[in-house]
Amino acid sequence: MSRLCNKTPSICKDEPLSDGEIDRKITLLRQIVSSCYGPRGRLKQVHNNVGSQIQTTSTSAVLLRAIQTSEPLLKLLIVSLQNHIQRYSDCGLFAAILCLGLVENAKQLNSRTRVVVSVYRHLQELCNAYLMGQECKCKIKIDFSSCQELLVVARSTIISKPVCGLNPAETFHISTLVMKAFLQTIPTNPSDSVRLGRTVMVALEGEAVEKSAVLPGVLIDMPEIFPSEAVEKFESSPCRVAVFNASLSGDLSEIGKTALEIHHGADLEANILDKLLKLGEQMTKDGVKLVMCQRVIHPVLQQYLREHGIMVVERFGIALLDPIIYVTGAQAMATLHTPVPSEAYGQVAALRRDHFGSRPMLHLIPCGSPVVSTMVLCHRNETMLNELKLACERAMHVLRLTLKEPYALLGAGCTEAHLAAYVRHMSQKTLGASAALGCNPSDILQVTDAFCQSLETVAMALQHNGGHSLIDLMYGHHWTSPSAEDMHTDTPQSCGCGLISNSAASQWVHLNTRYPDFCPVPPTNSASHICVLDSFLAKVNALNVAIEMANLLLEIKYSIRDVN
Amino acid sequence: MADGGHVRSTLAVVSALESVVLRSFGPSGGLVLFTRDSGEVLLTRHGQKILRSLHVEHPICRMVLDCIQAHCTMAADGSKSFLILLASLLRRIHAQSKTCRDISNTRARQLANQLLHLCHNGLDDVILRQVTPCVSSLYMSGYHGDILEGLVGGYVAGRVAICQVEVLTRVICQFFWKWHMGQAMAKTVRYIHRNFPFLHSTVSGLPIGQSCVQEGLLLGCDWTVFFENCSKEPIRVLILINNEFAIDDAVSVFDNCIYDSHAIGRRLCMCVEELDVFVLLSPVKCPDILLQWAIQKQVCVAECVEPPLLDLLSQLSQSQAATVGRVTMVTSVSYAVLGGHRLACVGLIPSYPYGNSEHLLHPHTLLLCAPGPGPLDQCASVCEGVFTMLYSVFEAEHTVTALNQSLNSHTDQSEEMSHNPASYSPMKSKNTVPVSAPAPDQWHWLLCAGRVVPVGGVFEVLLHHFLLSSDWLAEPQVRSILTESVLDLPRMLHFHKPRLFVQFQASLLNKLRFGPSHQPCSGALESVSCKQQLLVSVLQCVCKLLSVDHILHTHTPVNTLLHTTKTTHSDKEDED
Repeated sequence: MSRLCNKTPSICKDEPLSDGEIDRKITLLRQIVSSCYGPRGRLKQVHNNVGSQIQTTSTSAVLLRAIQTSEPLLKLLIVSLQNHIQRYSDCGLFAAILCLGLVENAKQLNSRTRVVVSVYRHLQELCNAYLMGQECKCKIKIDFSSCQELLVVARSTIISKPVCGLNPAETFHISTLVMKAFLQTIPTNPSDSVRLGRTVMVALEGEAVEKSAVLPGVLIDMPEIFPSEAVEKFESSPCRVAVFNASLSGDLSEIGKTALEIHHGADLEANILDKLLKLGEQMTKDGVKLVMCQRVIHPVLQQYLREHGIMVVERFGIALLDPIIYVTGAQAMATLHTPVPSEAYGQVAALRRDHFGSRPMLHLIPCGSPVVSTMVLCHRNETMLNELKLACERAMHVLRLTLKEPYALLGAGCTEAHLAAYVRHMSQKTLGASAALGCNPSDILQVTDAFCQSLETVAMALQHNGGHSLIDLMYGHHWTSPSAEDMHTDTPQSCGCGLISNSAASQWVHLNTRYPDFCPVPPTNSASHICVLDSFLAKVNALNVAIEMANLLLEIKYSIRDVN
Repeated sequence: MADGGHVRSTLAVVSALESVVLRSFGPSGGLVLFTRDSGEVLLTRHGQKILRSLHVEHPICRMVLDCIQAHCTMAADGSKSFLILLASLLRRIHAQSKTCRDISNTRARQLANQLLHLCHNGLDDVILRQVTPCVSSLYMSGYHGDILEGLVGGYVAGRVAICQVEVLTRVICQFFWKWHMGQAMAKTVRYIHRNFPFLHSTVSGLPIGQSCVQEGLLLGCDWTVFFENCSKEPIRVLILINNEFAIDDAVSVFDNCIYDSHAIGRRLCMCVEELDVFVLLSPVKCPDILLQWAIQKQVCVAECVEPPLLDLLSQLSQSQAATVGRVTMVTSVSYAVLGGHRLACVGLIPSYPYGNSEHLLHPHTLLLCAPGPGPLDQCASVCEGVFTMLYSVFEAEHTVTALNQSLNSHTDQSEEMSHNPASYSPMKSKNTVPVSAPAPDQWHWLLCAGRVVPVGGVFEVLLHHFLLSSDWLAEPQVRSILTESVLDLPRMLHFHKPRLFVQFQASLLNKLRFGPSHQPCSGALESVSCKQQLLVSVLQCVCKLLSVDHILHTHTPVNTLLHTTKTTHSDKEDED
């Protein structure tokens, strides 16, 4: 390959983080993500200048995808955050704010990078040990015998996205639906290997939120020419189903690039049609009542099947293939050349025709207890509906994560404030590790202070309406006060997560000030007062990813950038 | 070109290269971030990767990079040290030769030749007869800690971010010990080094602390069809070869014959059923009919597995050829779930892949996690480099032992025998059978023989001390150039606090004079043979660079004639 113009020398930058331009970009990114954080966060409208879809959102998954940056350091960070969100769906904004806060605070210190990175790593291990340990006072064990805590987790995830525009009753309704759908994906018959089911989301624009529902089984869009009388026959009786994922249209798409030599007298189309009709005959004889094909069915075959009282559904698409196989218990036939074996047939308990708004849908009701359900989400307009769909998917994922680790962390900034207080308290005790870390005690104290300030910044990022963040000096929870003066007379009824009431705590200070060292005590209230809970696995992973990315960014000492 | 200008310009070029790698030198060095114009990002501290990614045009620069590449192919270590040592030698040679005004270039070349002569005649002797025994006596009893961990930690510390060092060291050592079941550690290292691309898997989006070692081989993809198998008996596996799915170029359709596009798939299903297997592994996407049959017969299927990995699996489990593909036995089929990402896993019994009863291996896979693809690449390449380095250490031992045989004096032998008879016998047996010795711990043997040394400049300080006192080797001027340049390496490690280096040097020389202190020490280690090889390579490079007299730039004209004829043709067409 030859060049059209000479190679211009690469741009080499020593200590890229000390560059003012990159500083400004980091601050800007932190402001963008901080302003979206929490239920009172500000919204962002994403659109480009070539007329693509406008999105209004405060979800990190959408925002990070939309942020185009030319700075390679920030690109590195955004890719890592996107990887985290892909795995855990939650706490993306938390990781972003924490990581950028750690980087900014570290730069303001005078210490060497190696010292900062070693102490951050040490504190990361301290936080992990505390959060994973039994003595952690900011995590709640989820009681699976009642749905209270699961409901709180689902509600906290949905309420953190203000674009959804839900009032409290609607929020409660949607959270209940999410939890119901989640519980339905857990199979009831115990066996050695438990496989969770699926929830299919169907979005309906223009209806009220209260019309959202969770239905067992699968909903398929019904074509207009579908005879409704045919469905009525099966509203209460089980019917046999055959499912095909091969194409029944008579086209030879599966042969690929092979050449076909057709000899004189051979009529390929007639042969194939003959085969299709033989298949139809066999299915009629076997008493099949519903034939479903992922791809297209030949019109002649469709006509034949309808004449014999069999319902035909074609082109339902690959997205619904797995749910339909689950619901019916059928095995998808991959070929039309062999007769369908009897064990490949499936069964549904009933078929029903439902109307959702103006959309007619065919409802397949499974036999037995279903692990596949459909959630029909309704909302007034497209923007809110898209955001609600994302929020529900996130909530479902978060609930699934609780099956792996049955814990939840206190939300609304209480975990961050509590962890900061704990780390400050433990740093006094771990000054003895200074020799092992290769630095002096004053370095450890300074870097620990920077670390805790970053955690506190995350909690304070929840304030968007001029409120003040406070911390109580007994439990270490996060409180919000509307005014700075009269702190003691004007305190709210309970802390952010709802666990501590203001009668239990006695002293509060502002979160971003120096407060006397104290060891947070375990709360005495029962967990029933909690109203905001975060996902344990997602938050712990986000904490670790944030600290590791901050360490990586701080260690970059040289940057070489090709221009052409 | 003015005489003497060549040395100066060479020095300028090498200093520029040095400044690029200096930032990432040593355990407290930083990372270098590369961004290509295509948007591809590379984040690394690995010297070789940094230098390979630079676009350089200066011919001297290219020569230097070629020399480094050749050195790293052999030793897998020391590309940054190479540049620092090279720059420091050139500086000293330039300083010495500047004094001879008119013939400074000649003088420089002369010095370089003398240095190379010293290297070929006598340096080996000094290292083997003075430095190595000294190291052995200083650290044999005083070093506490795992030797393997020290070697791995020393290598990894200079090549990854500070926060990744502990985790990676622990995981790599765990990986080695899980593989190694027999006695021949060298063979285990060689096997892992040769097959490393298939013995590790990477998962992005998780913190580094989640890296672990998984038993069995990970297939790099998920099961397409999976059924649990709880029986304890070995499971039959069929490994398909690519040409099973080859279809004919053309298919004929006759009057009465109905074209069946799935005939091949069905034939395959019948063959597979005859073989009575529970698992099917295929290098390509299987036809739908095969998958349908697998679901019916409850057979596990994994598609799109890399062919070299399938070969490795065949070799490790000693498969046999069958009517289609190869059949083998495995202990278990399962999957590894890491943060929502599922990978198929096949358990294997410990086996003898070369049919050699001494060489027993228990296959495991290294699972590496990192927050993003940049740090992930870095981890994977460093892990690969660790095994290359260990392999080169063992390879060097074979040649050194042969040399040792001729150079070793009786007094040395009796000294070591009385001190530690158990560890001496492997060395003796190694002289006769270089392949493997029934040593209880070959790593410990390396320390006792003085072949590994703690990092931080121990080797450099000892070499400096012994070279200065070896008057018979070369002129004092030549010796001082080499010894002072060699000391520049540990000085660079402590550049932020030079006092620390001086203290370190003083304490080491003290130990030399008064015997080893009884303070136990532990920490990172490095191989003496790698250091020796580095010296030789750098001195050869210096000679090569300074043997250049003139640089002639040739200019190939850009083929503008072709461009102009093309444009005239298109003009003509327009006119028509």
